[in-house]
Amino acid sequence: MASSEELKLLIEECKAQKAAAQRQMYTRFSGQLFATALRHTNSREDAEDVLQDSFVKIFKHIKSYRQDFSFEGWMRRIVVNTAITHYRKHLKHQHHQDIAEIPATPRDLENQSDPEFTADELELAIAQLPMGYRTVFCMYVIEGYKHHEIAEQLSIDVNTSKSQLSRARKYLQRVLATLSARAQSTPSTASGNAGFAS
Amino acid sequence: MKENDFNMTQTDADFDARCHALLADKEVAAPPPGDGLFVQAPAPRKRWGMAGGAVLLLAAGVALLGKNAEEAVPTSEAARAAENTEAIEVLEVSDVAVSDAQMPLNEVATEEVSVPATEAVDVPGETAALTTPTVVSEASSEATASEEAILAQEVPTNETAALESETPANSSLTSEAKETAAEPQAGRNAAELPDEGAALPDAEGPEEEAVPAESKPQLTLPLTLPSGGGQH
Repeated sequence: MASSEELKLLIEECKAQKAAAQRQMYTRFSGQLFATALRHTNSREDAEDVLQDSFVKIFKHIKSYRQDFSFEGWMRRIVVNTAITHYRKHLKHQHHQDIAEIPATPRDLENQSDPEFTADELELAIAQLPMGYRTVFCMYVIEGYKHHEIAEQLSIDVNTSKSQLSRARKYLQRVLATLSARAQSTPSTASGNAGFAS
Repeated sequence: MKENDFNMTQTDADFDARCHALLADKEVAAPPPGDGLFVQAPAPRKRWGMAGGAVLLLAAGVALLGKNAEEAVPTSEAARAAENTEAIEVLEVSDVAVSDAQMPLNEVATEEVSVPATEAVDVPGETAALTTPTVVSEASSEATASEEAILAQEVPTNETAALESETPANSSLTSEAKETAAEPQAGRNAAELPDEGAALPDAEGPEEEAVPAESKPQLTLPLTLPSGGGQH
């Protein structure tokens, strides 16, 4: 991890539009930002487009960045906003799916209390969420947005943001509980996966 | 448990914190950057070069504009000199015309033949007045170049313009006068003819005083001019 002084220098060089500094910036932060883009898009191709567009915006508007804010948080917000714009552009080609359509079994509900899950399992569960719910959940839980900011960004009501977050959370808890229950029911596979994960 | 219960419980807060810890700092292998993502700013030298080029172009444009303006409105001395040169040429043309026309006039005065002289004297008054000193200067001693220059400088620009406008009349006059003068000259010998250099001594001309007395011709101006002559 680069120190804050190195990061400041890198930012200044990017403000001076030095290509070498921009390349270094991309190398340093593209992995993290690409993960963010993947969470806010439906496919890897869309995430690549969002990442590219986001870096174009970052290099273009880096002069407006102020040092008193987190630079990584500033970049991630650009990625999220770009993903939202990208989603809206392609919204007419996608079918709306409500989270209520996703079934949940009684057994899943029994295991929702304290499921054990990994990052990959969580990402897999998030990927199954409908786009609107996924966006609200990721913005609130992962990126740290407030409900009024989410409502403003997505042009929805604050209560809609709250309800979608609640539903998304319940859904994820159920899915992760199901995954955990299945892993417990097949010990050999579960131990194998655990060994692989570790 | 109600579906529309949005209030976050402690369990939900723990769940969110765990999700955040797992995913917030996660990195995924990113694709290589696209073409043209890294834009190199123009080097300072290039910037200065471009600025210098722009300044040079601007200066050249200003110089061209200034040159065009000078050509459009001549105000310099060179322009005045050019006008004076043209005036000299006009005066020379009118000199020839008037001197040719005055040749028969002198003879007409002595022989009192009025027909050709009338035509010859039908010169507009301004032209006669303006050309008279020039004739004198010619008569004085084949006016030198410096004298011509002085004469040219003494001629105002307005008069030059008037002369230019009247030049066709003088040229027509010249042709007429030559026709009328050809007949009397044919019958005369050279001795009877007055010296052309001292043809018309004029009292008004300042150069007359510079002419030596011996070189003055013996001719005298007729006291009475034919009808129409000398009306100013």
